[in-house]
Amino acid sequence: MSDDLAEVYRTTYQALVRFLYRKVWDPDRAEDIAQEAFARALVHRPDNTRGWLFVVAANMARDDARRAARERRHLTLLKSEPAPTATPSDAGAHEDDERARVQAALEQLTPRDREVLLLWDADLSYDEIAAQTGLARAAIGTTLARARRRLVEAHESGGKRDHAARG
Amino acid sequence: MLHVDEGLLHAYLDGELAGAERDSLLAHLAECPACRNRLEEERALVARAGELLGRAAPPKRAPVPFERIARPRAPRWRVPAAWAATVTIAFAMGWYAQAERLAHDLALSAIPSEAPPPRTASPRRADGRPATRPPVARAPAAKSLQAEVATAPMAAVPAALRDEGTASPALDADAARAVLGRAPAVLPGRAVLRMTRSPTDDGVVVIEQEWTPGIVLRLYERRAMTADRVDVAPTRAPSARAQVAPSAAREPRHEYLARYVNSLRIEIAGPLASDSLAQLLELVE
Repeated sequence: MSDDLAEVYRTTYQALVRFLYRKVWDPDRAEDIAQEAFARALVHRPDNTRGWLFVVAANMARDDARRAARERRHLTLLKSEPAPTATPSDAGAHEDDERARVQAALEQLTPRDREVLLLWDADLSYDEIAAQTGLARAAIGTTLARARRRLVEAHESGGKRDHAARG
Repeated sequence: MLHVDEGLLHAYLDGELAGAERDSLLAHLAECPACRNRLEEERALVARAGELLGRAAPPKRAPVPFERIARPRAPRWRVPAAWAATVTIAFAMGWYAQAERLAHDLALSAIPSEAPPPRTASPRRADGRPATRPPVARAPAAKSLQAEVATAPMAAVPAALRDEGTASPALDADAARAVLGRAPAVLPGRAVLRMTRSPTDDGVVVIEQEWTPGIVLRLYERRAMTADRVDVAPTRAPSARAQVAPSAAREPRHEYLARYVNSLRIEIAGPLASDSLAQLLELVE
Protein backbone atom coordinates (compact mmCIF):
# COMPACT_ATOMS: atom_id res chain seq x y z
CA MET A 1 0.00 0.00 0.00
CA SER A 2 2.75 2.34 0.94
CA ASP A 3 4.41 1.58 -2.37
CA ASP A 4 1.18 2.39 -4.18
CA LEU A 5 0.96 5.68 -2.38
CA ALA A 6 4.57 6.43 -3.21
CA GLU A 7 3.70 5.93 -6.85
CA VAL A 8 0.66 8.17 -6.55
CA TYR A 9 2.86 10.72 -4.85
CA ARG A 10 5.32 10.59 -7.70
CA THR A 11 2.67 11.02 -10.37
CA THR A 12 0.22 13.30 -8.60
CA TYR A 13 2.00 15.50 -6.09
CA GLN A 14 2.87 18.33 -8.43
CA ALA A 15 -0.52 18.29 -10.07
CA LEU A 16 -2.10 18.49 -6.64
CA VAL A 17 0.11 21.43 -5.73
CA ARG A 18 -0.88 23.13 -8.97
CA PHE A 19 -4.55 22.51 -8.22
CA LEU A 20 -4.17 23.88 -4.70
CA TYR A 21 -2.12 26.85 -5.76
CA ARG A 22 -5.04 28.12 -7.81
CA LYS A 23 -7.14 27.99 -4.68
CA VAL A 24 -4.86 29.48 -2.06
CA TRP A 25 -2.51 31.45 -4.38
CA ASP A 26 0.44 30.82 -2.15
CA PRO A 27 3.00 28.20 -3.24
CA ASP A 28 4.09 27.36 0.29
CA ARG A 29 0.55 26.84 1.51
CA ALA A 30 -0.24 24.79 -1.57
CA GLU A 31 2.69 22.50 -0.82
CA ASP A 32 1.84 22.33 2.85
CA ILE A 33 -1.68 21.25 2.10
CA ALA A 34 -0.61 18.76 -0.55
CA GLN A 35 1.82 17.13 1.86
CA GLU A 36 -0.77 17.13 4.56
CA ALA A 37 -3.21 15.41 2.23
CA PHE A 38 -0.68 12.69 1.46
CA ALA A 39 0.13 12.30 5.13
CA ARG A 40 -3.55 11.78 5.82
CA ALA A 41 -3.80 9.31 2.97
CA LEU A 42 -1.08 7.29 4.66
CA VAL A 43 -3.24 7.02 7.73
CA HIS A 44 -6.60 6.55 6.05
CA ARG A 45 -5.55 4.33 3.16
CA PRO A 46 -8.44 5.32 0.90
CA ASP A 47 -9.45 3.00 -1.94
CA ASN A 48 -9.40 5.66 -4.62
CA THR A 49 -6.30 7.51 -3.54
CA ARG A 50 -6.15 10.14 -6.23
CA GLY A 51 -9.78 11.12 -5.95
CA TRP A 52 -9.59 11.08 -2.18
CA LEU A 53 -6.52 13.30 -2.21
CA PHE A 54 -8.20 15.94 -4.33
CA VAL A 55 -11.34 15.94 -2.20
CA VAL A 56 -9.42 16.21 1.06
CA ALA A 57 -7.01 18.78 -0.32
CA ALA A 58 -9.83 20.90 -1.72
CA ASN A 59 -11.52 20.85 1.67
CA MET A 60 -8.33 21.86 3.40
CA ALA A 61 -7.76 24.64 0.89
CA ARG A 62 -11.24 25.94 1.55
CA ASP A 63 -10.68 25.88 5.29
CA ASP A 64 -7.33 27.52 4.78
CA ALA A 65 -8.85 30.30 2.72
CA ARG A 66 -11.45 30.92 5.41
CA ARG A 67 -8.83 30.99 8.09
CA ALA A 68 -6.65 33.33 6.05
CA ALA A 69 -9.58 35.67 5.58
CA ARG A 70 -10.27 35.59 9.29
CA GLU A 71 -6.65 36.29 10.10
CA ARG A 72 -6.47 39.16 7.67
CA ARG A 73 -9.18 40.84 9.69
CA HIS A 74 -6.99 40.53 12.76
CA LEU A 75 -3.87 41.68 11.02
CA THR A 76 -4.30 45.13 12.49
CA LEU A 77 -3.52 43.61 15.85
CA LEU A 78 0.05 43.31 14.76
CA LYS A 79 2.61 45.95 14.28
CA SER A 80 3.01 47.22 10.76
CA GLU A 81 4.60 44.27 9.07
CA PRO A 82 4.67 43.30 5.44
CA ALA A 83 1.75 41.19 4.36
CA PRO A 84 2.73 37.54 4.56
CA THR A 85 2.34 36.75 0.88
CA ALA A 86 3.55 40.02 -0.59
CA THR A 87 7.13 39.44 -1.61
CA PRO A 88 7.22 40.30 -5.29
CA SER A 89 10.58 41.28 -6.66
CA ASP A 90 10.93 43.68 -9.53
CA ALA A 91 12.01 40.88 -11.79
CA GLY A 92 8.92 38.89 -10.96
CA ALA A 93 6.54 41.81 -11.22
CA HIS A 94 5.50 40.98 -14.73
CA GLU A 95 4.81 37.35 -13.93
CA ASP A 96 2.90 38.42 -10.84
CA ASP A 97 0.82 40.73 -12.96
CA GLU A 98 0.10 37.98 -15.45
CA ARG A 99 -0.78 35.60 -12.68
CA ALA A 100 -3.10 38.15 -11.09
CA ARG A 101 -4.91 38.62 -14.39
CA VAL A 102 -5.48 34.90 -14.78
CA GLN A 103 -6.53 34.69 -11.15
CA ALA A 104 -9.06 37.46 -11.69
CA ALA A 105 -10.34 35.71 -14.81
CA LEU A 106 -10.64 32.38 -13.01
CA GLU A 107 -12.64 34.03 -10.27
CA GLN A 108 -15.26 35.04 -12.80
CA LEU A 109 -16.06 31.43 -13.55
CA THR A 110 -18.85 29.74 -11.66
CA PRO A 111 -17.45 27.59 -8.85
CA ARG A 112 -18.44 24.42 -10.68
CA ASP A 113 -16.91 25.44 -14.00
CA ARG A 114 -13.74 26.54 -12.24
CA GLU A 115 -13.50 23.33 -10.28
CA VAL A 116 -13.86 21.18 -13.38
CA LEU A 117 -11.27 23.24 -15.23
CA LEU A 118 -8.78 23.08 -12.37
CA LEU A 119 -9.28 19.36 -11.96
CA TRP A 120 -8.72 18.80 -15.67
CA ASP A 121 -5.59 20.92 -15.54
CA ALA A 122 -4.44 18.79 -12.61
CA ASP A 123 -4.48 15.80 -14.96
CA LEU A 124 -7.69 14.20 -13.77
CA SER A 125 -9.61 12.26 -16.39
CA TYR A 126 -13.22 12.93 -17.30
CA ASP A 127 -14.19 9.88 -15.27
CA GLU A 128 -12.32 11.17 -12.26
CA ILE A 129 -13.75 14.65 -12.61
CA ALA A 130 -17.24 13.21 -12.90
CA ALA A 131 -16.75 11.19 -9.75
CA GLN A 132 -15.29 14.21 -8.00
CA THR A 133 -17.95 16.71 -8.90
CA GLY A 134 -21.04 14.53 -9.22
CA LEU A 135 -21.51 15.66 -12.78
CA ALA A 136 -22.40 13.17 -15.49
CA ARG A 137 -19.41 12.16 -17.52
CA ALA A 138 -21.16 13.35 -20.65
CA ALA A 139 -21.43 16.83 -19.14
CA ILE A 140 -17.72 17.25 -18.51
CA GLY A 141 -16.83 18.20 -22.09
CA THR A 142 -19.58 20.79 -22.19
CA THR A 143 -18.55 22.18 -18.83
CA LEU A 144 -14.92 22.38 -19.87
CA ALA A 145 -15.84 24.07 -23.14
CA ARG A 146 -17.80 26.70 -21.25
CA ALA A 147 -15.12 27.14 -18.59
CA ARG A 148 -12.34 27.55 -21.16
CA ARG A 149 -14.33 30.02 -23.21
CA ARG A 150 -15.22 32.00 -20.13
CA LEU A 151 -11.65 32.04 -18.89
CA VAL A 152 -10.29 33.34 -22.18
CA GLU A 153 -13.02 35.94 -22.49
CA ALA A 154 -12.64 37.14 -18.95
CA HIS A 155 -8.90 37.37 -19.40
CA GLU A 156 -9.26 39.37 -22.60
CA SER A 157 -11.66 41.78 -21.00
CA GLY A 158 -8.89 42.56 -18.56
CA GLY A 159 -10.45 40.86 -15.61
CA LYS A 160 -13.30 43.32 -15.55
CA ARG A 161 -16.68 42.12 -14.52
CA ASP A 162 -18.57 40.91 -17.56
CA HIS A 163 -21.61 38.77 -17.14
CA ALA A 164 -22.68 38.96 -20.77
CA ALA A 165 -21.43 35.51 -21.67
CA ARG A 166 -23.05 33.83 -18.71
CA GLY A 167 -26.39 32.29 -19.55
CA MET B 1 -26.57 14.18 -38.85
CA LEU B 2 -26.86 17.26 -36.65
CA HIS B 3 -23.77 19.31 -36.01
CA VAL B 4 -21.80 18.13 -33.04
CA ASP B 5 -21.96 20.12 -29.85
CA GLU B 6 -18.90 21.77 -28.42
CA GLY B 7 -18.80 19.42 -25.46
CA LEU B 8 -18.20 16.52 -27.79
CA LEU B 9 -15.48 18.46 -29.59
CA HIS B 10 -13.72 19.26 -26.32
CA ALA B 11 -14.00 15.68 -25.17
CA TYR B 12 -12.46 14.59 -28.47
CA LEU B 13 -9.67 17.17 -28.20
CA ASP B 14 -9.05 16.08 -24.62
CA GLY B 15 -8.65 12.50 -25.77
CA GLU B 16 -11.67 11.51 -23.74
CA LEU B 17 -13.86 10.27 -26.54
CA ALA B 18 -13.76 6.60 -27.40
CA GLY B 19 -15.62 3.87 -29.20
CA ALA B 20 -18.83 4.59 -31.05
CA GLU B 21 -18.96 8.22 -29.96
CA ARG B 22 -15.56 8.89 -31.39
CA ASP B 23 -16.30 6.98 -34.58
CA SER B 24 -19.48 8.89 -35.26
CA LEU B 25 -17.79 12.23 -34.52
CA LEU B 26 -15.01 11.48 -36.96
CA ALA B 27 -17.51 10.33 -39.57
CA HIS B 28 -19.38 13.60 -39.21
CA LEU B 29 -16.26 15.72 -39.34
CA ALA B 30 -15.24 13.99 -42.55
CA GLU B 31 -18.29 15.30 -44.34
CA CYS B 32 -18.94 18.59 -42.53
CA PRO B 33 -16.54 21.50 -43.22
CA ALA B 34 -18.40 23.71 -40.73
CA CYS B 35 -17.72 21.32 -37.89
CA ARG B 36 -14.12 20.90 -38.98
CA ASN B 37 -13.77 24.66 -38.72
CA ARG B 38 -15.35 24.60 -35.30
CA LEU B 39 -13.02 21.82 -34.26
CA GLU B 40 -10.05 24.02 -35.11
CA GLU B 41 -11.58 26.94 -33.22
CA GLU B 42 -12.12 24.79 -30.19
CA ARG B 43 -8.60 23.41 -30.51
CA ALA B 44 -7.27 26.96 -30.35
CA LEU B 45 -9.50 27.68 -27.36
CA VAL B 46 -8.24 24.61 -25.50
CA ALA B 47 -4.65 25.65 -26.18
CA ARG B 48 -5.29 29.23 -25.14
CA ALA B 49 -7.00 28.26 -21.88
CA GLY B 50 -4.16 25.88 -21.11
CA GLU B 51 -1.65 28.60 -21.76
CA LEU B 52 -3.45 31.02 -19.44
CA LEU B 53 -3.59 28.44 -16.70
CA GLY B 54 0.12 27.87 -17.19
CA ARG B 55 0.71 31.49 -16.26
CA ALA B 56 -1.07 30.88 -12.99
CA ALA B 57 1.05 27.91 -12.01
CA PRO B 58 3.13 27.67 -8.86
CA PRO B 59 6.92 27.93 -9.18
CA LYS B 60 8.52 24.65 -10.18
CA ARG B 61 10.11 23.03 -7.20
CA ALA B 62 11.43 19.61 -6.53
CA PRO B 63 8.87 17.73 -4.47
CA VAL B 64 9.71 16.81 -0.92
CA PRO B 65 10.84 13.18 -0.96
CA PHE B 66 8.00 10.86 -0.23
CA GLU B 67 10.06 9.22 2.50
CA ARG B 68 9.86 12.40 4.48
CA ILE B 69 6.09 12.18 4.47
CA ALA B 70 5.99 8.41 4.83
CA ARG B 71 8.30 7.80 7.72
CA PRO B 72 9.16 4.17 8.35
CA ARG B 73 8.29 4.68 11.99
CA ALA B 74 4.72 5.56 11.12
CA PRO B 75 3.04 2.28 12.16
CA ARG B 76 4.47 2.51 15.66
CA TRP B 77 3.60 6.10 16.30
CA ARG B 78 0.61 5.85 18.53
CA VAL B 79 1.89 5.36 22.02
CA PRO B 80 5.34 6.90 21.83
CA ALA B 81 4.25 9.90 19.80
CA ALA B 82 1.30 10.58 22.05
CA TRP B 83 3.52 10.32 25.05
CA ALA B 84 6.13 12.56 23.51
CA ALA B 85 3.50 15.09 22.56
CA THR B 86 2.22 15.22 26.11
CA VAL B 87 5.67 15.77 27.46
CA THR B 88 6.42 18.37 24.86
CA ILE B 89 3.22 20.20 25.55
CA ALA B 90 3.64 20.14 29.29
CA PHE B 91 7.19 21.17 28.85
CA ALA B 92 6.36 23.93 26.42
CA MET B 93 3.56 25.24 28.55
CA GLY B 94 5.77 25.23 31.59
CA TRP B 95 8.36 27.23 29.81
CA TYR B 96 5.76 29.42 28.37
CA ALA B 97 4.19 30.07 31.74
CA GLN B 98 7.44 31.58 32.86
CA ALA B 99 7.78 33.73 29.79
CA GLU B 100 4.21 34.85 30.13
CA ARG B 101 4.75 36.01 33.66
CA LEU B 102 7.98 37.68 32.70
CA ALA B 103 6.37 39.58 29.90
CA HIS B 104 3.54 40.55 32.18
CA ASP B 105 5.84 41.72 34.92
CA LEU B 106 7.98 43.49 32.44
CA ALA B 107 4.98 45.41 31.26
CA LEU B 108 4.20 46.32 34.85
CA SER B 109 7.75 47.33 35.56
CA ALA B 110 7.72 49.56 32.52
CA ILE B 111 5.11 51.76 34.19
CA PRO B 112 6.94 54.59 35.95
CA SER B 113 6.96 53.98 39.67
CA GLU B 114 8.35 55.88 42.59
CA ALA B 115 11.43 53.71 42.82
CA PRO B 116 12.80 50.80 40.90
CA PRO B 117 12.45 47.55 42.79
CA PRO B 118 15.57 46.11 44.34
CA ARG B 119 17.28 43.59 42.13
CA THR B 120 16.30 40.63 44.25
CA ALA B 121 12.96 41.87 45.44
CA SER B 122 10.05 39.48 45.47
CA PRO B 123 6.55 40.78 45.67
CA ARG B 124 5.70 41.07 49.32
CA ARG B 125 2.45 40.81 51.03
CA ALA B 126 1.24 43.44 53.41
CA ASP B 127 2.66 41.54 56.35
CA GLY B 128 6.10 41.75 54.82
CA ARG B 129 6.58 38.06 54.19
CA PRO B 130 7.55 37.00 50.75
CA ALA B 131 4.73 36.06 48.48
CA THR B 132 4.71 32.55 47.14
CA ARG B 133 5.56 33.80 43.72
CA PRO B 134 8.93 32.65 42.49
CA PRO B 135 11.56 35.34 42.34
CA VAL B 136 12.17 34.67 38.69
CA ALA B 137 8.82 36.23 37.95
CA ARG B 138 10.18 39.65 38.70
CA ALA B 139 11.95 41.18 35.75
CA PRO B 140 13.36 44.51 36.82
CA ALA B 141 14.38 45.72 33.42
CA ALA B 142 14.20 44.75 29.81
CA LYS B 143 17.91 44.10 29.76
CA SER B 144 17.62 41.28 32.23
CA LEU B 145 14.64 39.66 30.56
CA GLN B 146 16.80 37.61 28.32
CA ALA B 147 18.81 36.30 31.20
CA GLU B 148 15.72 35.58 33.22
CA VAL B 149 14.12 33.77 30.35
CA ALA B 150 17.27 31.81 29.91
CA THR B 151 17.07 30.51 33.45
CA ALA B 152 13.33 29.98 33.40
CA PRO B 153 13.05 26.71 31.51
CA MET B 154 14.79 24.48 33.99
CA ALA B 155 12.68 25.81 36.78
CA ALA B 156 9.60 24.79 34.89
CA VAL B 157 10.71 21.33 33.91
CA PRO B 158 9.35 18.64 36.13
CA ALA B 159 11.98 16.89 38.16
CA ALA B 160 11.41 13.61 36.41
CA LEU B 161 12.20 15.21 33.11
CA ARG B 162 15.14 17.09 34.47
CA ASP B 163 16.74 13.82 35.42
CA GLU B 164 16.70 12.65 31.85
CA GLY B 165 18.70 15.53 30.54
CA THR B 166 21.43 17.61 32.00
CA ALA B 167 20.49 21.09 30.85
CA SER B 168 19.10 22.74 27.78
CA PRO B 169 22.21 22.93 25.66
CA ALA B 170 22.61 25.97 23.50
CA LEU B 171 22.91 25.19 19.82
CA ASP B 172 24.55 27.00 17.00
CA ALA B 173 23.01 27.06 13.56
CA ASP B 174 24.87 23.97 12.37
CA ALA B 175 23.90 21.94 15.39
CA ALA B 176 20.28 23.01 15.03
CA ARG B 177 20.39 21.96 11.42
CA ALA B 178 21.74 18.59 12.44
CA VAL B 179 18.89 18.05 14.88
CA LEU B 180 16.16 19.20 12.51
CA GLY B 181 17.57 17.87 9.28
CA ARG B 182 17.41 21.33 7.78
CA ALA B 183 17.89 24.93 8.74
CA PRO B 184 15.47 25.95 11.46
CA ALA B 185 12.58 28.14 10.43
CA VAL B 186 12.49 31.56 11.96
CA LEU B 187 10.54 34.75 11.90
CA PRO B 188 12.19 36.81 9.20
CA GLY B 189 13.76 40.08 10.18
CA ARG B 190 13.99 39.27 13.87
CA ALA B 191 17.16 38.43 15.68
CA VAL B 192 17.44 34.97 17.16
CA LEU B 193 18.17 35.44 20.83
CA ARG B 194 18.95 31.85 21.55
CA MET B 195 18.65 28.36 20.21
CA THR B 196 18.53 25.44 22.58
CA ARG B 197 17.95 21.76 22.44
CA SER B 198 15.24 20.51 24.72
CA PRO B 199 16.72 18.82 27.82
CA THR B 200 14.95 15.56 27.10
CA ASP B 201 16.76 15.25 23.80
CA ASP B 202 13.52 14.56 21.97
CA GLY B 203 14.60 16.34 18.81
CA VAL B 204 12.95 19.61 19.72
CA VAL B 205 14.86 22.79 19.09
CA VAL B 206 13.67 25.88 20.86
CA ILE B 207 14.29 29.18 19.16
CA GLU B 208 13.73 32.44 20.93
CA GLN B 209 13.18 35.58 18.97
CA GLU B 210 12.31 39.03 20.14
CA TRP B 211 9.28 40.23 18.27
CA THR B 212 9.15 43.66 19.80
CA PRO B 213 11.09 44.85 22.80
CA GLY B 214 9.98 42.76 25.73
CA ILE B 215 7.94 40.32 23.65
CA VAL B 216 9.88 37.12 23.29
CA LEU B 217 8.40 34.46 21.07
CA ARG B 218 9.40 30.86 21.20
CA LEU B 219 9.37 28.49 18.30
CA TYR B 220 9.43 24.81 19.16
CA GLU B 221 10.60 22.92 16.14
CA ARG B 222 11.14 19.33 15.36
CA ARG B 223 11.07 17.11 12.35
CA ALA B 224 7.53 16.46 11.31
CA MET B 225 6.39 12.90 11.70
CA THR B 226 3.70 11.60 9.45
CA ALA B 227 1.61 10.39 12.29
CA ASP B 228 1.19 13.72 14.00
CA ARG B 229 0.17 15.45 10.81
CA VAL B 230 -3.32 14.04 10.90
CA ASP B 231 -4.68 17.28 12.26
CA VAL B 232 -4.27 20.08 9.82
CA ALA B 233 -2.23 22.95 11.12
CA PRO B 234 -2.57 25.25 12.81
CA THR B 235 -4.25 23.47 15.60
CA ARG B 236 -4.92 24.67 19.04
CA ALA B 237 -4.33 22.10 21.67
CA PRO B 238 -7.00 22.71 24.24
CA SER B 239 -6.18 19.44 25.95
CA ALA B 240 -2.78 20.86 26.65
CA ARG B 241 -4.22 22.95 29.42
CA ALA B 242 -4.95 19.89 31.42
CA GLN B 243 -1.25 19.12 31.45
CA VAL B 244 -0.22 22.51 32.62
CA ALA B 245 0.67 23.61 36.08
CA PRO B 246 -2.09 25.60 37.77
CA SER B 247 -0.11 28.79 37.53
CA ALA B 248 -0.10 28.49 33.79
CA ALA B 249 -3.70 27.42 33.50
CA ARG B 250 -4.97 30.58 35.02
CA GLU B 251 -3.27 32.69 32.38
CA PRO B 252 -6.13 33.41 30.02
CA ARG B 253 -3.91 34.52 27.19
CA HIS B 254 -2.22 31.19 26.78
CA GLU B 255 -2.37 30.10 23.24
CA TYR B 256 -0.62 27.33 21.52
CA LEU B 257 -0.44 26.93 17.80
CA ALA B 258 1.33 24.59 15.47
CA ARG B 259 2.12 24.51 11.80
CA TYR B 260 4.11 22.47 9.36
CA VAL B 261 6.71 24.18 7.28
CA ASN B 262 8.21 21.77 4.82
CA SER B 263 9.64 18.99 6.96
CA LEU B 264 9.36 20.79 10.28
CA ARG B 265 6.65 20.90 12.84
CA ILE B 266 6.65 24.29 14.49
CA GLU B 267 4.84 25.50 17.51
CA ILE B 268 4.72 29.09 18.53
CA ALA B 269 4.20 30.53 21.97
CA GLY B 270 4.31 34.03 23.25
CA PRO B 271 2.44 36.65 25.22
CA LEU B 272 0.16 37.68 22.37
CA ALA B 273 -3.41 36.96 21.37
CA SER B 274 -3.88 33.75 19.46
CA ASP B 275 -4.84 35.55 16.30
CA SER B 276 -1.60 37.45 16.42
CA LEU B 277 0.35 34.30 17.17
CA ALA B 278 -1.36 32.52 14.31
CA GLN B 279 -0.42 35.36 12.02
CA LEU B 280 3.15 35.30 13.24
CA LEU B 281 3.25 31.58 12.74
CA GLU B 282 2.37 32.12 9.12
CA LEU B 283 5.40 34.38 8.78
CA VAL B 284 7.80 31.72 9.98
CA GLU B 285 9.92 30.44 7.14
